Amino acid sequence: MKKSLIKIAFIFFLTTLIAAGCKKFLSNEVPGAYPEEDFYKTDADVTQAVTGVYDMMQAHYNSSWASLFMIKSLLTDESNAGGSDAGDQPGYQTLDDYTHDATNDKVRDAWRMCYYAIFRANKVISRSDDLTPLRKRLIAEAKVLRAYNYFELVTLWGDIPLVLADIPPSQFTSTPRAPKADVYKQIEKDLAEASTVLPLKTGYSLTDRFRVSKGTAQALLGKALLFQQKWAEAGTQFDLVINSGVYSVAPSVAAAFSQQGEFGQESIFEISYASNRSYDWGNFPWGAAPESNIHVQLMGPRGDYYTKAPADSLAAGWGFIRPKQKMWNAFIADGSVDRRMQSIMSQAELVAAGGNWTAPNDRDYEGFFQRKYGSFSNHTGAPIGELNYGTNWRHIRYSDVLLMAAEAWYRTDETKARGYMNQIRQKRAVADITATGPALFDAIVRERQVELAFEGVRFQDLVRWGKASAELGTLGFTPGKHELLPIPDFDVKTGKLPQNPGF
Amino acid sequence: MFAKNLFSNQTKRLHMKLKTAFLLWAFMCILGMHKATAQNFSVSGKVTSQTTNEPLAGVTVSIKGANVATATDKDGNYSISVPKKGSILLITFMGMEAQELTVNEPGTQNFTLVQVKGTMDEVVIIGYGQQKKSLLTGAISSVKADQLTTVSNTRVEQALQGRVAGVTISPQSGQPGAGLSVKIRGTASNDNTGPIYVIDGIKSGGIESLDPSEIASIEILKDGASAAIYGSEGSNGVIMITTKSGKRNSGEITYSAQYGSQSVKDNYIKMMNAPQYQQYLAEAGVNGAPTLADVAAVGNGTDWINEVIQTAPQQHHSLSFSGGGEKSTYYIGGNIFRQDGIVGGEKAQFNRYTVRLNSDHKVKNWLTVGERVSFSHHTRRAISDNTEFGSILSSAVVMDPLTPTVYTGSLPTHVQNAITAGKPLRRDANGNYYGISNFLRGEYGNPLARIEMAKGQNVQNKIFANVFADIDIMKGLKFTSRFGIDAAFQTGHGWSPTFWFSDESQNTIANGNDYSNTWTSWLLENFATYNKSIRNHNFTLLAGASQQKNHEVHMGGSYSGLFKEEDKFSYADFVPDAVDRIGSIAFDVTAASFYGRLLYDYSGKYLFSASVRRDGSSKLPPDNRWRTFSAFSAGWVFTKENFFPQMLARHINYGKLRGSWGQNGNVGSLNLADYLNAIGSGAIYPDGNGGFVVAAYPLRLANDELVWENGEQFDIGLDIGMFGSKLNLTVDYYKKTTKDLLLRGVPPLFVGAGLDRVNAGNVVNKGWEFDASYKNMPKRNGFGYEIGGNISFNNNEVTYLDPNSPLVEGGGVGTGWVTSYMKVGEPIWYFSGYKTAGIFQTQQEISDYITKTGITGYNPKPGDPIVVDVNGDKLISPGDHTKIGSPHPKFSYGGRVNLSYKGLDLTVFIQGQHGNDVLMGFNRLDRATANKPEFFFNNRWTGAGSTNKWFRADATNPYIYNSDLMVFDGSFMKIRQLQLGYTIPGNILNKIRSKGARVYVSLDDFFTFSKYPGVDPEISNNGNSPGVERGGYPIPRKAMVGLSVTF
Repeated sequence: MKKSLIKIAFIFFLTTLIAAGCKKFLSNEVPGAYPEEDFYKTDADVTQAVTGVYDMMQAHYNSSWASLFMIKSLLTDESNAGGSDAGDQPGYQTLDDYTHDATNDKVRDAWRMCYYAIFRANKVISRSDDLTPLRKRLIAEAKVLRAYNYFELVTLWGDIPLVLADIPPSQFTSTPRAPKADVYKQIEKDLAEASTVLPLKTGYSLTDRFRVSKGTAQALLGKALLFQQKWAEAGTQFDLVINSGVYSVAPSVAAAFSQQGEFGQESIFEISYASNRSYDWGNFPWGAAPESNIHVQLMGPRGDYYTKAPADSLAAGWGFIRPKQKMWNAFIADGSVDRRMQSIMSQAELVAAGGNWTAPNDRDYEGFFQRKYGSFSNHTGAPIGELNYGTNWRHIRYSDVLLMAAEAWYRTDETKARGYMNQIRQKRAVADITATGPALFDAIVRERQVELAFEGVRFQDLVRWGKASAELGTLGFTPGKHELLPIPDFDVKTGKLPQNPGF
Repeated sequence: MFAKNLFSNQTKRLHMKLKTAFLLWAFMCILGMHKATAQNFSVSGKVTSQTTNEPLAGVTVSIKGANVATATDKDGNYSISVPKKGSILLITFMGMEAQELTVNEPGTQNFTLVQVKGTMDEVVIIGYGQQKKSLLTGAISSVKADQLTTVSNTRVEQALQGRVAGVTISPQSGQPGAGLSVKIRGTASNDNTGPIYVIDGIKSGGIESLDPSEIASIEILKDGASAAIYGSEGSNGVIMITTKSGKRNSGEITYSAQYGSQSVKDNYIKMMNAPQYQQYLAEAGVNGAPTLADVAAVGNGTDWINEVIQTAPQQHHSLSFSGGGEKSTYYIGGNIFRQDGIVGGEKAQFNRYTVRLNSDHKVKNWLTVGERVSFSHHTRRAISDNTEFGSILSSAVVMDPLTPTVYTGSLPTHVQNAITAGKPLRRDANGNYYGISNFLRGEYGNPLARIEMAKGQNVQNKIFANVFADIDIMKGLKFTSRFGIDAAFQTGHGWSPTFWFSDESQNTIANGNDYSNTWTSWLLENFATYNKSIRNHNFTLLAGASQQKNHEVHMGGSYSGLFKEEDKFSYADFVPDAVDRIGSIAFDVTAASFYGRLLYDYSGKYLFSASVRRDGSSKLPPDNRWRTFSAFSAGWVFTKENFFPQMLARHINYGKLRGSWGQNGNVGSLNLADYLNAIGSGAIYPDGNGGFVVAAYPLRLANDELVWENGEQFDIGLDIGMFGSKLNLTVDYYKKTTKDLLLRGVPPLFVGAGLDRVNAGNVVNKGWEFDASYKNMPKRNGFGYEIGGNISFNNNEVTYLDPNSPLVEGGGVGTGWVTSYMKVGEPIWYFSGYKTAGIFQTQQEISDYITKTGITGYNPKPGDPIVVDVNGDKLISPGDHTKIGSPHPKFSYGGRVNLSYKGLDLTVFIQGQHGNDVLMGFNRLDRATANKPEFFFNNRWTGAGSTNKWFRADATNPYIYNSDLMVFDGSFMKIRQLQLGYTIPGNILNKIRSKGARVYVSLDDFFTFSKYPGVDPEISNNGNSPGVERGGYPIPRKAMVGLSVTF
């Protein structure tokens, strides 16, 4: 009896031991995870992987309100930060006041999103083969997206790590900041390769027109060359875009920024948002990645003090990006009434139209409201307008290319330069430019200021023109320091990157 | 009027039941007394000692509950006059166990007294077994059932507060049913700091489903060696709970009831009244501030704190039947616990119902089987608290005093405008609109309206059950097999009606959400124990294996556009399918272990133990799944040595020196496959035609090097028993090093993806623990007392961080201030912000200062703080954030006094902590018009020389609101319990056939002593930003009455 008991017990015991030791018991299936080495193999895989790159570039709200568009806008003389008070998004407020430092969360997260997009693009470029035409095109798309992000990084941060493949942990602290020239070289290489593969914008279906096209690659390549002052090469690329016959200047700024204008005649590169996700206060993915462009709501006139004019569709928002008097003055000087009214509205105009503003002394408020990326109620969806703005970011549009082309050519071909500019001015109902020499350049500068107002391009323009100190000095811009953003303190500490001067 | 509505019919019915029970009981008492007839008679006899068989002189013989007593003579003889039949004789003598006997007739009654067993003879539950306390070599603290019987706490953990040295319990909120943070010997990890719970030998996901009355004992394994046998995730300590079981050949019915009224002390936080608020904001130059005229219309305005606070009932009933026959024992119990909230009343209600069946059966002389089965059902409604982003509680704190609770007369313009604009304003039960602030916007809103709108409820059903078999294989060899199931089924439902407080706090479409979470886990334990004594060498060998599998299923959905804003339409079935949203996931996590232990002692004098455990977890990469944890400990009972001086031995009856070292693991903060690089999907991107394309992307960087977090602890302790173990002292010193902390990976951002978890740090907790208790038996005059206290000192320091991440960010306050960090040389999650050095008094002082320091980036005015340029870059910027406080107490303590005089007993129980800071986190920098505590007004700088401590009226200055000015001394002492009890005399009990009955009144958590000017220094526990108070739910004080009776 006792012996049999011992046996039973030990058999039981041993069974457990064997079961416990079984490797299989500790191998659990991981839901929602597909092995990386098995991915990037088919057209469907690569299509989704490239969509992942676009998706990261859309994450301007993401977890912490860190939009590169906002950073670039706040550093300019176009607008003030606004918001409820100095403590509302201090990261944005300090950028506006030029008191930002390397710990600025917006700078950190914008940098992060650029590199996260690059990481996803790198995976596509390095892991996919180009054995089908579709995969070939998708790899080219990834190259353009990678180049776009490197362009933002190199123009805003200077020398930066040039990451083209996975970085092993052993190199986390030994990856150097590549010289700007090397980064530009890579940008040019990626774009040159992509532009031979990618179709024209018209080659895409209606559904696919969110994708970067040959025109995107050429325009961006031109821009990269322009920033390096390679005038003729830049001009050549811009001419390719202009002569492609795919693009034309929209009848008005408002048309270019209307819903119908999305992926429209001026559109060269946009990041896409949707107004049909039916976000409400209960299901909005706070802290995640919504498909709507919540920054448009952030930039609407602050609802506490704003009453919309009855016939207007500019709805209330959270009061960021408050235009400066200087911006208004530039529009007045320009003379184009339509362009002005479609970009900026004064308090007097608001009141005259039957609306109202009750806080004339509110902080950062100089009497104006921004209408380019306006919080228009017809740009948003049901059920909660505040949360469903579908407004796309227009990263590159045709007018910008025309003006860059003018800038590239004015030294050698003033007629061509004026011609490009006047294509725009005719549509804006202002007199043609007739200036020559340095006056022509000044005209280009002014034209860019008003035509591209509130589009997040002026800061990089002022820096490359060497005009930043003159234009932004009163705002706190320190020459020798503020041409660049600080390398995020996070990467200075974790990646041992040297800091930019002054920070 | 508001409070009235909060007592639902259900509660009323329960009140009725309670009343009926009391009446019945009282009636029975009266009946019993009525039958009693006075008839004196005499009882006499002799009292001897069991050990010596000699007569004992001077033994107190008294009648329980009556003022009659005598003492034995030198021959041990006594004679006493008994007042009536059924009286209880009480025989007490110092150093001997007291005896009781019910006498019904005159005659002779002899007593043999046995020596009191010291606490050292108690048996203590250890991992996979039990051990006499005298033979323990580790630091194990024990709490027995009698200490838990009259607690008024919702949760068992809270009842441990202050009772055991080295255990810190911090409630996350004072709200009924809220969770607690339990830390044993300091904060040992960054994320998962809680101990593991083992109930009746089975690891449990939590103990929220246990009722304190079900518990027989709680053992806290504090040192590394004791916990090592639970190596798998025992690095934060182990709390072992044993539930009650029946006694052989007995039968007992126990009923206890407790009713309490909860409240908070007046002005627990005092905010500015309307004139102060107006003046403060005006001085601060805040936009959108009220005018003097606005204030004139409202007087002192609304005291929101006062408006939301109410008294709230709580009650607890438990009924159990226990006993057994020759071969079987049973315990059958049931509990009801109901608690309303002091804010929100029924909207913050927590109800818990539990039933339990424990039984043991000796099937054969070699086989015992049994089961421990508990089912619990709880419902919890909760209102939002402890977040500065517009929770109901933080709204109540910072809502402006000018806004009325409701509008009974005409509506102000801004309200009228909102109504005209079609905004959905809330109305109260009388149809009046709730007050809408014209000054404070943001996420906030009228807290009364928000309470009325709260519609959420969470329901959890939990089965925690195990069956076991003990097989005696041969003499000394026992085999145990246990199989346990821990299954929790949680569902939640909530919905939000339409409302409008401001454009930033509104909902124009009613929406709802549901979720369902299931955690099912089974655990199989098999182990064999072998006992052997060879002369004075005693061995206990243990070897075993365990396997565990957790299966989790989570589902959640949301929907909007409710047909009608009513509970019955708040489900997804009644909205069009197109607006439903659903998410779900299911996965398994498994673990397996092998373990062995040797316990050895040489005649109870030299003690030694060693254990080893090998654990595997599926959360880790295949090559690192297993890790071995070992431990050693030794003890020396020096009082057993012959050379121990007689002089000392007369006083010191027991003394033990012990030391231990042990390792434990922790993977609690890991998710399955955090190490794995893989492709994930589910994201979408809008295409060019109004549709969406699906995106796939790499989830993270791989980390094949991920290993177990590993705790190593060294402990040395001394246990002393004096005066026949009436006085017990325990001292411990420990050093606990947690290595390979599981931190969120922080690769440089340019790498392009995150690392979920890396082993990247060490943290050391070291400190001293003292515990002392003195127990005196009731003396001749019927007076007895017991005093106990403990104090523990802990020092926390991060000693290593991966050089890649020298500064680890924790949580923060508002929209831009990271308040809590980890870095080498500082305590974990220390506070970081601007350091100030007084207040600028004059413009001249500022000019001099700027000239001298060359500082830019800060343009102070007189009355602003002098901010220290910590990094010396001549720029005042967030780079100057530095350590401004620590949330960890320097020491914490508990103390207890029990006094008894005849049937009366009095308990005073205090608990406190000292030297920790609390960061006042509800004053958000980005909400300038939010109300502020009154002392901001009273203490403010009002001109040169007025004060150098507090700033001028200001609401938006980051150098104030993100600085050390928001850090306060968070030390507190609370009188946890002040209880007066009366044990019903035996003669009355006999009439109702009761074996014992006690009634009591008690003030629980009633008195708090603290300098902290915020809500409550205790409720400031948030994972990675502990000590930050965000406008929390205060801990209620309770006035209780209770009764327990045994038949």
